[in-house]
Amino acid sequence: MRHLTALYDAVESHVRSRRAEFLTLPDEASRIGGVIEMRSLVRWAQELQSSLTWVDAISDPPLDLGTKYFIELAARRLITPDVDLVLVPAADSSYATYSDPYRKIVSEWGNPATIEGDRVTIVFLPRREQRSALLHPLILHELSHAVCSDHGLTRRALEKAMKRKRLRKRFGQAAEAVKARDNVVDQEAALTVAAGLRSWTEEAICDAIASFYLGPTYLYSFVVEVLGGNIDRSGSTHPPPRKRIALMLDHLDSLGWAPIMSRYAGPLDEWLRHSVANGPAYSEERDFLVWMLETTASDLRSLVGRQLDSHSLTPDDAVLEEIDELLAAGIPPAQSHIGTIDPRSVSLGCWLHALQNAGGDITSLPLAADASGIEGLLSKGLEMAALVNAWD
Amino acid sequence: MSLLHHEALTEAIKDPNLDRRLVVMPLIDEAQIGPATLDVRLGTEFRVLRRIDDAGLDPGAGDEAHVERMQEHVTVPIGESLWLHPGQFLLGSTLEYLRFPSHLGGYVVGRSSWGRVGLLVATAIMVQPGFGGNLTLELVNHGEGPIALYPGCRIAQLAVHALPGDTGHVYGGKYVGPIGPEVSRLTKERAEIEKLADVADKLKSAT
Repeated sequence: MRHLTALYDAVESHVRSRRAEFLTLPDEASRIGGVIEMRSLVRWAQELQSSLTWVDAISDPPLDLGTKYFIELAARRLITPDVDLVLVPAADSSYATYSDPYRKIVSEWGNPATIEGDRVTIVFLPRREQRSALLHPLILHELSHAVCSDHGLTRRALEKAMKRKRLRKRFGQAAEAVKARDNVVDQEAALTVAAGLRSWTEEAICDAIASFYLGPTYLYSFVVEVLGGNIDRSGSTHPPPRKRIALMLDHLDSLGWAPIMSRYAGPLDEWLRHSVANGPAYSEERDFLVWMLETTASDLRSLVGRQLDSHSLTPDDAVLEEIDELLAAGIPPAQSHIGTIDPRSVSLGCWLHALQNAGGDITSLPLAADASGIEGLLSKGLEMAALVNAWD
Repeated sequence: MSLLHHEALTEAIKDPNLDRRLVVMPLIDEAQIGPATLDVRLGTEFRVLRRIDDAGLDPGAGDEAHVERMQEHVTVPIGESLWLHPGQFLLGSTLEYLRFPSHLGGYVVGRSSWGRVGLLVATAIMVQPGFGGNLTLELVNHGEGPIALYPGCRIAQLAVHALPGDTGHVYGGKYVGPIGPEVSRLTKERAEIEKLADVADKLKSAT
């Protein structure tokens, strides 16, 4: 509400000042100019209104309370403590993030600094997945875009990458290939490759942040999401899922998750590792971008590790075992016999329990995601775990 | 049946054997364990009764969807409140998921501080051995003014009794493992109401 009040004040102040000027325009030519400006002002107001469609979602949150607390905590930890997060169900089938969506529009006419208050981050999630608690960790990837933007992670990663002589050389070769393929000038070809470099790097950073923060939970949610499609399809903005899975596995291995993933869902773990080891060859600039991701993976891991610092989730066998025992008894896990449980362990514990129950192989992934019993236990477990943690 | 005192309650709640444990998930504050009762907190989900313009509830009609239509599901986050007006009835639940082992049973009753302002917390107060779930609370304001209900506050207390022996008979009724307030499953008793009709017919025709 504070944002809307501030936004209203900024708009009102601008309209008042312009109206006062319009009323005193001295001649016909000035008045025509005034009419043109007023038309623009109306169009601007329409744009502003369309950028505020998410406001309706504030009164009717799309997620259960447990997931809401879970995502809000992540946003406060990773973006900024005073972030104001709004989750919006969307008809679109994909997840997306926008930060302060009205600030750019206001800045075209007035001073965006007049809009004070917390940082607004809006996350759109597919309406059809509104009740799929095991897939909600995908939202972490979206939040990570805001982390990249706020903390300059993509810029820092690219600056470090471009210091590599070999990378600069291969960048030039990729640009040459694009120039020949698209019949464009040097500069346009270089811009095409640079845009891909930037987008793919940011996607890889966001995957790494989600993997560091959530452990294998994010990997499982991601694989369910991409399993139905072609895992080798890459776009100008997104690396192929097969490569993204490979990088996530590397991150998780570096954090010590491999034994737990193997214990609860060994056949799935083997299938994933086998799949990523047998990818196809890519062509032209895609080949360069894939190579770039492999070459810079270690740097990205260091960058993300430093950024998250103590917010990386560390493997805890005993807690996961206790969560598994509680879930097997139909009890929402929110507290261990020795104290609090991190809500992220609740989320992971539910994934591991559901996978194990469904057989632990690749076919168990969609079965686990659709298991009706686990949804309620997860959302209640998240809600109560958040409360217990906040109480202490 | 003996009432469990503080030490026995603590021991039951901390039993390392999950099958024998009195599960209180979560036990936010050990001070909830009193001399002979356990304080339980109000959950975040409610079912508020709507005023409806169709026929009232007839368990004999067996229309379960009708019971659902009579109630609106409301979630109230921690830190916010829900006003309960004089004469109003709604279903809430305990914040805690409770599971009674087969050798323990209990009663849930209101706390006197709430009772003194007119709040009735539970009418179906018996908790059977083997029950697991967030206990549904039937909240009624019998006072003269509205009462604000805050999720997370201590709303009721649980008296736990040890059974003389472990009979192996545990709860297997209509409300298994609820994780929020459950609507009435009265319509599942339609067969019993039909049986009553049969009995009435026999009584009329008996010679």
